[in-house]
Amino acid sequence: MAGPRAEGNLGMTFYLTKRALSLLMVLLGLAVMIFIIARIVPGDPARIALGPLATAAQVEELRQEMGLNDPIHIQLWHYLSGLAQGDLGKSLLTSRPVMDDILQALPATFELVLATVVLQIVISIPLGVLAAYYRDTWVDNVTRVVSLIGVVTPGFVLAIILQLLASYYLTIFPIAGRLDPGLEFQASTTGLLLIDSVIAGRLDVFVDAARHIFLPAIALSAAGIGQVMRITRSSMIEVGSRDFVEAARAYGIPERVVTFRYMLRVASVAPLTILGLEFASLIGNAFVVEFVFSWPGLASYGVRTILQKDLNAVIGVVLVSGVFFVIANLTIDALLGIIDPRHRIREGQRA
Amino acid sequence: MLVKAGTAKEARVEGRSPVIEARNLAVRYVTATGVVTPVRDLTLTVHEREVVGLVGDAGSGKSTAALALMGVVRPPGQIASGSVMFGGRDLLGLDEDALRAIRGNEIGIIVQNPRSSLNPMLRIGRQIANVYGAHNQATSREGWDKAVDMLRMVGINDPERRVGAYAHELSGGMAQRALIAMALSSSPRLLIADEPTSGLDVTIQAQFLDEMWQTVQATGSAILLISQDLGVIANYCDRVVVLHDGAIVEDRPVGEFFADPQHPYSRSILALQKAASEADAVAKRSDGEREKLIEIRDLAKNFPIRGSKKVVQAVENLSMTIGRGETVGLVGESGSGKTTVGRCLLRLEEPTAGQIEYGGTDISAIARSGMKRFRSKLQIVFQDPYDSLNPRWSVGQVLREPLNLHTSLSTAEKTARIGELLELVGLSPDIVSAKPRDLGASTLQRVNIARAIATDPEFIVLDEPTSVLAPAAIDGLVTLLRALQAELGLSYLFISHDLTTVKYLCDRVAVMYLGQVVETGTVDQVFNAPLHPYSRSLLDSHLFPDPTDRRVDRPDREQLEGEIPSPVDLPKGCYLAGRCPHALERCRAEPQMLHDMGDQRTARCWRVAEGDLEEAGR
Repeated sequence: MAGPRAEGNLGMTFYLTKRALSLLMVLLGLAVMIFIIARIVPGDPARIALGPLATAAQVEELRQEMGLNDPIHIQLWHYLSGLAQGDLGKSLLTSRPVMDDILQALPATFELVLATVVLQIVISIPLGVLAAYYRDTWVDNVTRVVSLIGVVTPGFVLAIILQLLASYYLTIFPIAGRLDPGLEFQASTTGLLLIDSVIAGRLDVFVDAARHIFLPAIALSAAGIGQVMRITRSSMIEVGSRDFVEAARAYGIPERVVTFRYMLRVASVAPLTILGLEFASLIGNAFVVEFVFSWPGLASYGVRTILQKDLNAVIGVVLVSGVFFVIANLTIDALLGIIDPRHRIREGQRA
Repeated sequence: MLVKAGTAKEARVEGRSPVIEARNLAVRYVTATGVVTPVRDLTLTVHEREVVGLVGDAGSGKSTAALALMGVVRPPGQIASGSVMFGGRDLLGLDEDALRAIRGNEIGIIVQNPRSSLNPMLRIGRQIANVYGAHNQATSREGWDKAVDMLRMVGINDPERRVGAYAHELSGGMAQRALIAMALSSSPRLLIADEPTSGLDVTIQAQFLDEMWQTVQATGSAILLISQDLGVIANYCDRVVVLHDGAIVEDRPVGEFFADPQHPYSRSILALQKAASEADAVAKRSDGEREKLIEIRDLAKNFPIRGSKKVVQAVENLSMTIGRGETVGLVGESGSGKTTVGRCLLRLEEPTAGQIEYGGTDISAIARSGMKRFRSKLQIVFQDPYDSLNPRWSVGQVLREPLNLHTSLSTAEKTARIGELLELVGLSPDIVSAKPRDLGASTLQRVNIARAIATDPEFIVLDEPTSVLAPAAIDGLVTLLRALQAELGLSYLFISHDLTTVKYLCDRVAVMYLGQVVETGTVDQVFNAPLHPYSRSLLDSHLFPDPTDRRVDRPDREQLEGEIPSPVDLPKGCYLAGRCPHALERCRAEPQMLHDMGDQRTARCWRVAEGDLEEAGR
C-alpha cells in the first residue's frame, strides 16, 4: 500500500513543478509582450506625463531619466531585472512606486474575486447536481432559466439592478464601499477584511464587511454561476450514463456514495476547468462592478492609469492580472491532479 | 485440478432448488421519440450448482436483462412487468434499500467492458473496499485489507502493490480480474457474468472459467453466463437460453441445443460450427504442387522505444511461403506479432530485416514509389469494419477510390464495376449511397472486402476480420471468403485468434509466440496433433463449440504457467522456457531453432525434434 501512494505523491510534486515552471514562462512572455506593446503605442510617455505646456528640454530630460533614449534591448533588460526584484517603476500619475499603489488596492479586489469564486462554487455545483438528479422536472427547468439569465446579463447591469433594488429601495444592503466608515478597523494581517476581522475577533466588522461584499460578489458571480451550473449538470448526466456508475449500482453501493464519490468526483473535472478560465476574466469584470459599488480596488486605479497612458502603472496592472491568472490556473491544476490521477500523467507528459 | 462432473448432465438439475426464477420480465424505455422494449419477455431459472448460458446477438438485450434481474435499469428505462424470485422474495417488489442489500452481496455481477466499468479516479482497492463495505460492517482499513485478499484470490501478482493502482494502470486482463474480485467479495449465491472473458487471451480465459466452474461445484452457488462465444457456452454451461429480439426463444440442455437447435435463430448461430465439422470431412487440397506466390525469408520488425535504447521485438526471423490459391492461418495470442507480419507484407510497416518475394520480385527492397504497381495486387481487410472506412464517404465513393487509383476505366465502367463488386460480396447494389453509420458491422466488413477485391488482387491479408462480428455473421463472412477464393483464385493470410474459424477456413497454419513462429503445418496436423508445447496449450485452451468434448469433462492437461514475458526483455533461451512444463536447463540456455519435422511440418523445440515429448493426440 505504501508503494503506489509514495509513487503517486512523487508524481504529484513532479507534475506541479512542471506546471509551475511552464506558467512562469507564460508570465515572462506576458511581461515581454506588454513591454513591446507599450513601446509600439504612439505618443511619448514623457510628453504625456509633463503635459502640453512643458518645454522640449524638460521632456528630453524626463526621457533621459526614464531611460526612454536607451536602445530597446537595454530598456527591456532594465525592465525585466526590475520586475524580478518586484520593481514596477514609478507611476507618472501618483509619483509613487507602482508596486505600492497596486499593493494598496489589491487586497480589496482580491477579496472580491475570492468571494465571487466561493459563491460560484457553493451555488453552481450543488445546483448543477440537483438539476441533473431531477433532470427534466421543474427543478431542472427553474435552474436552467436562472442560469440562462445569469449568463446573458452583463455583470454591471446586474450590479446596477441589485444596487437599486436591494440598497436603494429596500435598503437591506449598504449601497457602496467596503466597510462602514464608522467602524474603526485596520486589515493588517492578510488585507482581507473577512479574514482579518475573524482573526481579530471583531464580529461586527465581519458582518458589516460581508454585507458590503455580498451584492458586488453576486453581480460578479452571476455569469460564472450560470455557466458552471450548466456544465456541472451536463457533466453529471454524461457521467451518470457511464458503465462504472451502472456497475457501482449493480454492486449495491449506496446511492449517496455513487452520487458523490463516483459521479460528482468524475464530473467535477469540466466545471473546475471552466472555473479556472472564469477566474481569469473575473479581474476584468471586477473593474466595472467595482466602479458601480465604489469598491476601493484596482479598478479606479487601473482605469485612471489607462486613460492617462501611465505606462508603468498599466504594465503593473496587467502583470498583476497575469499573476492572478497563473495562480488560479495552478490551483485548478493542483485540484484536477488530486481528483483525477490521469490528469497528472497526461499533463506531466505534455509538459 | 478440476472437479469432475460425474453425473449425467440432464440429471444435474433434478432435486436442486432454483436460485433465481425470472418470470415474464420486461424492460422498456420511454423516450421522446417513442417506447423501446429491449427486453420483452424473459423467463428463466437458474438452479443450485448450475451454469446457465444466455446467448444472443449484440443488441438482443442480454446485458439489459442481466441488470434488470437485479432491479437495475439505466435511466430513463424502467421494468415494465414480471417478477424475479430470489431467496423466497420477489426482488422487483422490494424497496430500494432492501434490493441494494442483495445486489453485490447475494447476487454478484461481472459486468461487461472491464475497463470502463471501473471508476477512473478511485484506486481499485478503494472500489473493492466500497463494495465490501456496502454489505459488511468494516472499517476503511479492513475493506482495504479485504481488497488485497480478493486480488490475491483472483490471481493478481503482487496484490499489495496492485491494490493501489488506478484503472488506467491495469491491463484489460487485470481490470477484468479486479471486477471479478468485486463480484466475489461477498461470496454471492448467484453470479451473473456478462461476457466475463471478452478481450482475454484464450489461455487466461480458460483459466478463469475453470476457476469459476470449480467455485460453483464446490460452493453450491450458480452462474448465469452471458456470452456470444459458443465455445464458452458449450464447454461450461449446463443449459442454454437463447434471447432473440428481447424474448427467450429456446431454453434447453447444452447437448440438445448444439445437436438439434429448434429456433431458426439458434440454427443460424450454430451454422459455422456445423460447417466446420463438415469441413473436417472434406479433404484439404494437397500442398505439394501448389505454385509459390509469396515467400518470406527471415522477416524481422523492431519498434524502437522512445527515450530508450531498447526495442520491442515484434517479429523475429520469420520465414514462410504462401501458395497461389492457398489460405495460411496465422494464430497466436495478442502481442504475438501476427498483425505486424501482415502489415510488413504490404509494406504498411517497413520491415527491419528480411525479404518478401512476391511473384519473383523482392518487394521488401524496392522504393516506396515502386510499390504502387504491387498495391493493387496485395490488399488488406482490417479488424474493425467501421474504423477502416471513412465515415463521410458513401459505399460508392469507398469502392470508386481504388478504381480511380489503379484502373483506367471510364466513369460508367467504374459504376458498373461497383455494382458488380457489391454483388460479388453478396450485397445489394442499392447500398451505394449509404454511409458507414447506416450499415451494420457485417455489411461494412463486406464493403471492406469489396474494396479489397476491386483491383483484382492476388493476395489479401485478412487481419482478424471476424473478431467484432456476431456468430451468425462470422459464418456468412467465412462462407463468402471461401467462395471468393474459389471464384477469383485468391490467396489469403488469415490472421486470427479464433481457432474455430481458422480450422474451417485455412489450409495451413503458423503458430506465433512472442514474434516467433513456433510451429507450422497443415490445419489437420496442427489442430489434431500439435507438437510444440505452446501450440498444445493454445489448442487445449481454445474452447471449441462442441458439448460432447467439454473442457470440464476432460482429464487434466498440461498448462502453461505465469504470464507472457515482455517483448522488450526477452529470455535468452527458448521464449517459452519460463512457462513450459517440459523446460530443461538447455531450454533456458539456448535460443531455439525451427526444426524440420518432415511431412512439411516445423516446430521450434529441440525436445520435440529429438522425440522427447510424446505426441499430445487429441
